[in-house]
Amino acid sequence: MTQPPALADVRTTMFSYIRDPYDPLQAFGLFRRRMDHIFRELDDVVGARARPSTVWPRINLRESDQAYVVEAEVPGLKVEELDVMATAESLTIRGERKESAPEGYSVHRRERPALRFSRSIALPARIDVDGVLAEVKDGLLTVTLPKHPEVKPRSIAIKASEA
Amino acid sequence: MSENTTIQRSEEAIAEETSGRPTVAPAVDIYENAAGYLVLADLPGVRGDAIDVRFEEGELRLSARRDLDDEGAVAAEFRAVEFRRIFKIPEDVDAGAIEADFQGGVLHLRLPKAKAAQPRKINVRASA
Repeated sequence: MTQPPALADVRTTMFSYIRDPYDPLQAFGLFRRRMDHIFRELDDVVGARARPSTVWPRINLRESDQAYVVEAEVPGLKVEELDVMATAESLTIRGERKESAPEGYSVHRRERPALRFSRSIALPARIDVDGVLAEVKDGLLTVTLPKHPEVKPRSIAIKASEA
Repeated sequence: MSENTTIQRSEEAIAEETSGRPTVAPAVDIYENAAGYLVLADLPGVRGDAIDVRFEEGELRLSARRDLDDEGAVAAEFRAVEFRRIFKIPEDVDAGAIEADFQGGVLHLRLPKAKAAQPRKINVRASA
């Protein structure tokens, strides 16, 4: 036997998907989630790249008088999986992160997908290509690019002129 | 198993700052087989001694501090952060046997299942 609906239930039938009638803003949250869903579906249809669509690896650039230092986040990558190339005015970091799913395990969550990457950056000034050093430590790639002697700052002696 | 449903790809802070640096959730993979769970977390630029993993109140709490030399920074896509993530541990995990090791910026957490929870083959004896 079914009970007749309570007054509050009748009032909310219109918004039956809103769980809490005293929080009308919930509808906005629901709307946003549905829209997100539609856009995700659209991405799949149109063929937009799946996440992470952000650039990989992330890079920092620092500068001193003597050199530029580029650091990149490369967790889990070994030296032999990275390819660093420098020209007089650019640096390219290439590599591949392999699948880390171990044999015989099922996946609960994957936020660290396998990927192939290549990033190039234009350096602000000429560098000494032969003096470039690269090392990997704790998942951070550090490339030190000494500045070309031509662009290193020099202090200029000022002569006092006799007036 | 993880408390965070979304990952802050852009390193947006997920919590109030307490140490003058933003708190971000590291990217993790979670795998399971019959013997246990395996959690991999990306912690690039973190030193091994700056990682803290503790098991409290049925949760595995991971926090790690990343210090960076930012002298003369021209452009920065990542910064000094506090990595933090909390995992609800299933009851079948043997909390006393959790192991962690850190290699090349990736933390490996092994959470073995308690013996009682592992599949076991029961021998059937035929009675004469």
